[in-house]
Parts: sequence; structure tokens; C-alpha cells
Amino acid sequence: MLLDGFLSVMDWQYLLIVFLGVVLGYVVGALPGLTATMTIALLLPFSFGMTPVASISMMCAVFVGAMNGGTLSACLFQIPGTPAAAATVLDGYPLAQKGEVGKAISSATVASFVGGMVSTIALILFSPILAKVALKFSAAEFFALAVFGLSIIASIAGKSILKGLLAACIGFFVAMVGMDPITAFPRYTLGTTQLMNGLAFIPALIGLFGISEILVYMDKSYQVTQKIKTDIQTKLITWKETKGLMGIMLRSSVIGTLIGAIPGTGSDIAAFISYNEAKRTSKNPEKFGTGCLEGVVAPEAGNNGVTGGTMIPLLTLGIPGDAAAAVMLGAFLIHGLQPGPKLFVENTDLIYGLFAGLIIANIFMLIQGLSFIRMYAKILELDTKILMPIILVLTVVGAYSINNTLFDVFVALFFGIIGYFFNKVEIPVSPIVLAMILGPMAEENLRRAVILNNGSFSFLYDRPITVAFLLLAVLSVFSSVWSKKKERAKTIQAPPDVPQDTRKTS
Amino acid sequence: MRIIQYGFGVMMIMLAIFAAILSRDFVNMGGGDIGPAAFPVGVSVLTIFLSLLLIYSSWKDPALVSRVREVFTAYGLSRVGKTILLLILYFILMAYLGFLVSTALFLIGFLWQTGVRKWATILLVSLGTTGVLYYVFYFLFNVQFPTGTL
Repeated sequence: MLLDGFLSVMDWQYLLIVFLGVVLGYVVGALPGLTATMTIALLLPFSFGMTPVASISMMCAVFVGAMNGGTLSACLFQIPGTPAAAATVLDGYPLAQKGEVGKAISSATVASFVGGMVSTIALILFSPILAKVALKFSAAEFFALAVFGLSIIASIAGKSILKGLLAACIGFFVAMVGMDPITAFPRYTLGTTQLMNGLAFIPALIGLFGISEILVYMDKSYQVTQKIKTDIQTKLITWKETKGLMGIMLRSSVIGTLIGAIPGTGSDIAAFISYNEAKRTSKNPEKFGTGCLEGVVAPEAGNNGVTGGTMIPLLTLGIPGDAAAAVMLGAFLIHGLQPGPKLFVENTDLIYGLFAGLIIANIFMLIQGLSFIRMYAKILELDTKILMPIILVLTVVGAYSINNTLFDVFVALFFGIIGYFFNKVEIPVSPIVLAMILGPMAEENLRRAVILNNGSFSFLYDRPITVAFLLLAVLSVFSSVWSKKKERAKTIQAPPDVPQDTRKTS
Repeated sequence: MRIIQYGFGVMMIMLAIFAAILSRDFVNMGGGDIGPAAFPVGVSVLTIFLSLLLIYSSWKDPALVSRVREVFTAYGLSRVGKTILLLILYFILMAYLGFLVSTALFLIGFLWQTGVRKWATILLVSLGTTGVLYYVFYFLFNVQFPTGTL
């Protein structure tokens, strides 16, 4: 099957798309202020001109590239390009300060490759099994699954769970606009025909992750004049060093994959846990933080391990594990596909083509990461003053091209303004997107389950899988509340000293 | 920050009340269905509860000391406001002048606003971007851009 997947994607156009996706992801990841989620949202309109396999593979390639690209600014300037690279700063920057920039970046690239490959193998092995189980689910289980998916809002809510939950409520209200999913009764359409099909999902995404980022950029005037000069040495990691680090890389990759497969976690958590685990089990833990290679490869293998892991709940259950996965779901919807267990029965070509695409993306990431290190450092000299208006026009064109209507462009601007204000007052926007996806899934399946049970809600306690998912949801919320309390107590005691770009979502 | 959180809480309560009032007109077709109003009402109740909780916790939180003007600076707001105005003007112009002219004009205006003063750069970026996007989306993806009424 995987061989068929490879055969289906082995043409130069597809390979070029994946390669460009990796390069674009790397550039975006390297530039602090630009996010992989934003780039994936901007690429959604390009999906029209591509096959489903090519468009989704391109987005995965951007994700893979961005995870690795964040290392560049982390090692060179102590500024993680993505939150996932925050742990890499701890040893990557000191290593670069010792004059080993090439070694720091190349070791991170090799570790990212190992992490990406391990997680893709895990995706190939485990997702069909999980999908087979999920195929037996009925409306009651899907309702519970949606509730479980929604419970991850608590963990992606940032500093305040309350604000995250309220943002999710906005997402629910937005998703309710249009015809209701069971009886097609028009809700909140205000008598207009334009709202009968609801507020378009893709323009909302483009607004929340594209336009809002540019408005935030405009607000932070100090970045406008920012210009950086870069010059790096290209002494790469040796084969002997790579072999010596393989144990740490494999262990961190497994950690990253497992964490990525849990909805609501993320690449930054995976990177820090991998780093801590490498330090804890090291014979020389005192070397960590001084510029050791182990401290660079562990978080990098961990954060790229997430790339395949996060696809497991998305493909098998239709639950996006984080904001980037939620936006990727948009690419499926554009092609009329609904991620979930049925995809493994009805679209096997797509699934195995996507698996092959992820493997190819990781190989490209390794090749280009090692070959163009010196050239990529020049990316950081790009003048954002020129880049921002181009991105802004791209968001407008993207929103317009979904339905060829200016109404969607205004929708994107509306969500962009919401995203900007929310960013300023520290309200996360990811819960809005998650609620827009999982809200209708929860409502439709709840109502279906009630109808099938003749108006009874007994399925909430007499179906074991439903009960298990609902309990998991409760557990997930409580564990998030508990860990946030712990985190807050820790922050009050010792403020973090690693600089982070808080605007990034992934 | 406290005042912002109060404001957010109040706005969410108003939104929830508005949604709940409108949902009274949603008709349940029966047949064991809980109806199209059940979910909106449930979300409205949840929103009101969470908003009240946010207002209460903001009132009790001693850490919320930052002032509104520290979060929103006059300079930042003015730049953002100008960008939004430029965008709205761009969308309106697109309906009259079409995609090509309005996009080029918007890019010239935007680049000027961000402090780019070299006309060669401004013209190259604005005309180049417009041309490339038009070619890709119109010729390759068959997107029908507005041609303008003028």
C-alpha cells in the first residue's frame, strides 16, 4: 500500500510542490514573527489548483520545514523562530557562540530528520489500527469524541483557561450561523442569503492567523526597522558524532511522537520534555546549557517527532491536535474530504500518498537543511517591511478566491481584527478554530444520538467508549487546570529567562 | 488589564443574551430531536457563566496591574487603524477599479505607510506582486477577480 502511495506521488510536479513546501516552511520558521499556522492558512487557496494529496502534502511539508527552521534564529540570535525551538536555544546558542554554528544547525537538522521519520513510521503503523477501531463508532461515540477534542481547549488556552473557554464559545456561535445540521433550519442568518451556508471557515482562518499577525506586526513598530546581518561558518556534524547521538535522537523522537499524538499538547512541550529527559539520563548533565550537541539534538528530534504524531488524531478521528492541524483540516474540507476513520476506507490512495509525502518531505528537509545552511542564514536579513504588504495582499486574494466574493474578504478582515485585539489582551484564538470544527460535530452527533435513542440521553452512561471519552475529557480539563496552577506558582517564584516570541502558535 | 477583562466579560454576556433571544424563534420539528435551539441556548448559558467567572476572577486577581494604555499604545493603535482603513478602502476600490489597479494602489499606499521611500522599490514590489498574484490565481487557478465597474 505504501509502495502504491510512493508510486502515486512520484512525478516531478508533486516532488517540486513538496520541496517548495519544505523550503517555505524553513523560511517561515526561521523568521520570528511569521508562523507555520499562518503560512498553512495562506496556502489553503492554492489547494484549488492541486490534487488533494499534493495540497495536503505541501502543508505537511511546510509544517516539517518550519519545525526545523526555528532552529536557525535560535542558534544565531537566541531568538527561537518558533516556540518549538525555545528549548534548542539553551544549548544551540552557546554552541554557536563557541564558533560552531554550522555544527549546531546541522546537528539540529539531522535530529529533526530522525524525529520526523520516526513519527511518520509511527503514523503509518498505528493510524490504520486506530481508524479500524474508530470505524465501529456511532453518533454517541463521535459526540463524546468531539467533547474530548474540545477539552483540549483547556490546554491550548495559554495563560487563562477561562479566556480560552470564552474564545471557544465565540467559535461555537460562529459555527451556529447558517442552516442547522439536522433540520436545515436557518439560525442567526439575520435574514440574509449570504449567511445561509454559514460564515466561511477558510476566510475566518485566514483572518485569525494571517491578517491578525500583520496587524500585530504593525502595532509593534520596533520591528519595522529591524535588520540583521548574518555570517555563519559551515562546519557540519560528522558521521561519528551522529552515530554517538543516535540513542538520544531515537528516544527523543519517540517522546515527540507520543506527545504529538495527544491532542492539546504541542511541539514546544515535546522539545522541553525531550531536553529534560536527555539531561536526566546523561552521564554529564552539567554539560547541558553550555553548548553540548546532546542539548541541541534532543529538543529538535522531539519537536519534529510531533509532526507525524499530530496527524494520528487528525486522520483517524478527525480531531486536530493543535492550531496547525486545525488549519490543515481546512485543506481536506476544500477538497470535500472529512478526516476520520472513513478516510482509511474511502480514500486509501490519499492516505498512503500522504504518508509517502511526509517521508519525502523529511528527506528534502535533511538535504536542503544541510546543503543551504549559509544561504538560509541570509533569510534573516529579509526586510519585513517589504514582506508584510505582500503577505497581506495574499491573505486578501486567498479569502476572495474561496467563493469569488468580496463578502468573504470582509469576513477575513473581521476575524483579523478580532485576532489582533485578542492577541493584545492575551486571549488565544486557537480555541475559536477548534470550536468552529468540533462544535458542529458535537451538536450533530448529540442530536443524532438522541433521535436514535428515542429522545433518551442514556447513551451518555451506558456505552463504555462514550463514557471513556467523556471521562478522558473531564480528566484532560482537570489536569490542565492543575498544571496551569503549578505553572503559575513556578512563574511567580522564578520568571523564565529564555526569550520567546509569544505571538507564535506553531 | 482588569478593565479590559471586565469589558470582555460584559460583551460576551451581551452576545450570549442576544443569541439566546434569537434562538426562541428556532422551530423544533419533533421526532425525538432536541431541536435547533438546544445547542445555542446551552452555549449561551455556558458563556454567561464563564463570563461572570472571568469578571469575578479579574476582580480578585492582584496580578492584573497593567493599564489599558500599556496594552494599547496610541502609536500602535494609529498604525493598526490606518492599516484597517487602507484595507477597507482597498476592498471598496476593488469593486470599482478592479483587482489590478486597486491592488497596485493599495501596495503603494501600504509601503509608503510603513516607511519605504524608495520609489523604485515601491513600484517594483507593488507592480510585481500584483502581476504575479494575478497570473497565478487568474490564469492557473481560474479565480475570477473583480474587473471593476468603472
